[in-house]
Amino acid sequence: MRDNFHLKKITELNKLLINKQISSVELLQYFLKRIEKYDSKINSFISIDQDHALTSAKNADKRIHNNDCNLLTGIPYMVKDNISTKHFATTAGSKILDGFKSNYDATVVQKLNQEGAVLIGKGNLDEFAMGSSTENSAFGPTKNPWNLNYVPGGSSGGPAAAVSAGFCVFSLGSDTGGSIRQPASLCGITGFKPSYGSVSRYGLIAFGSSLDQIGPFTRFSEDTEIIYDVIAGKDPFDSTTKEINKNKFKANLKNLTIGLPKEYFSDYLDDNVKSNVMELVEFLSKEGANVNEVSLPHTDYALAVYYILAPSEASSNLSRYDGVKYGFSDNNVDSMWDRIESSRSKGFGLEVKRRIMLGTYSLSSGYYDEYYGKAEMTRQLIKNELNSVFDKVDILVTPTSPTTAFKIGEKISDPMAMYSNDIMTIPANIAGIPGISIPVKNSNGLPVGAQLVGPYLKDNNLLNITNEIQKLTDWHLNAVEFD
Amino acid sequence: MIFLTKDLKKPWNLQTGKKNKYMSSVDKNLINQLSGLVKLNLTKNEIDTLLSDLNDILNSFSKLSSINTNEFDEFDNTLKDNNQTREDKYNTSWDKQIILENAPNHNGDELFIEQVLGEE
Repeated sequence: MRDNFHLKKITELNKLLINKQISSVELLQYFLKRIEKYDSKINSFISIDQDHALTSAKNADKRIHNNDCNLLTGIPYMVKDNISTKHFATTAGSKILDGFKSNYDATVVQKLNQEGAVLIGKGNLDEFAMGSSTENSAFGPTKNPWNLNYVPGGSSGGPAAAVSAGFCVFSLGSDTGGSIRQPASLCGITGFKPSYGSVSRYGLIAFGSSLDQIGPFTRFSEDTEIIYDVIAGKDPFDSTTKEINKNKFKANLKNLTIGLPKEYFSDYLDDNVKSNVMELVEFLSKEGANVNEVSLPHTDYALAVYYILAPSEASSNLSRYDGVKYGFSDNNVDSMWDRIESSRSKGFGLEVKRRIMLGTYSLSSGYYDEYYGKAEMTRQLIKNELNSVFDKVDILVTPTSPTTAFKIGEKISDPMAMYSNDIMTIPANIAGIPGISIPVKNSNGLPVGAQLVGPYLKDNNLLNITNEIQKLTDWHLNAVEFD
Repeated sequence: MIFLTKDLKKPWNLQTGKKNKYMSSVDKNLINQLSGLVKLNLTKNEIDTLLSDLNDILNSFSKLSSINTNEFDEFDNTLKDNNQTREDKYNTSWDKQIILENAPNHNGDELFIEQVLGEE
């Protein structure tokens, strides 16, 4: 049987590879054919290097032949195009990085390549990961594989759509305020933001450095655990990383205490999203979990805190793009200052300019105390509140996004409406704690995601809980069918 | 069946529509001042859009002023548990030639920029 490899778990594909029922090269060709056939409609890839991928697949076949392999050897994947790679251009979805090629692989890519995973290409994103719909890319919007008139979410819309459409087995995204979990929810797949400091950010193009985190998109939570095991851990090139306890935790749904934060289930939430997430809660309750309502009263301020702190950090991080050292440069100028100003003005899109301006305003003398200082102190308040709730419950269950996917163009000219998509995912970034989105029942043909959030550095516990859920339910098996 | 309490009828309070007494407003002069600081030459359309957007955004965020944060220090580092210093020792870095390959204007050994010294 050589069909539907895109619906198989990594362990199943590994078994087929080890038993020589398929080669890595054949597996790669299977995915390349799907990309060739369908990605012109979806636009999930910014770049693909078939020759490079073929060389990696041939090397993987050699390793398998020599019994020098592991679970990811020969498994095709994609990374978001704000993660640096030596063999592909790295654009961050921006014109200002036109022609930029990193001279090193990000630590996460290096780790995956060492395992023998096969990198196919780079995924589309909102410019510099700023957006919730992937409409802000200089390379055009990505479409939702479930309905091409709808957005896939963002900012990691390309990597989410690619897994959802079956163009690769897994992908890596980055999550500063929900950019993995929200598109995973809108595309009907599993998306995981690890604890801050558990996965190296070396090689990730910085947006909000105190919030950014790299994590995987997969069809199965079990696959997420495999990838997390590989990419997590201390990296001398990222001083915020930590040694991770990789001891396996055996989740027992019967002994779980689940918190439902009432602030996440307000009237703002779409009714169908709410009822489908509550079906998961009902399921957990029937399995013996103890479900408690909890209150996180400062959740309401998280959006404001995030949209002050992240642009402030971004305004500093993006000052490095000057048209001199790398990327796009406007040569039609008379002075160095003109070059910098003109290159930045022509190279950045409107959303990036909006956030640079907002961040610079928040950090300016006269406004700092009112905005940045206040947001930083409120961040500590929200973080303490979230940490304390885990004294009472093992995990929180919430919707991932207040709505299902929205139509392309629907929110692009209304920044506050766009920003509000991140309202359920931002608190985990503010507190640095792990969060995962898993599919629950679809609503009107569009996917719905439930978010599970756990205590700091208890990532493996969280993944084991979602593994158990997916062993007993079949919502995650819903897949897009093109033909 | 699990029920959530129904006392939270308010939607997510994104835009109050009311101007907070603490709220600072943004005008065209401030936009021009900020764009000069961040080296962005904005078009008239961009200025108009950003003027409206920034005022909306800052208006909705001004609700932060109502929270009591007296027990917190704004300079306290939320990442203090993460940041770990290392021994400050010499290490080799990237070769200059490799770095310069990405520069839009270079001769393989130096970056080219327009003259800076001697400008008025």
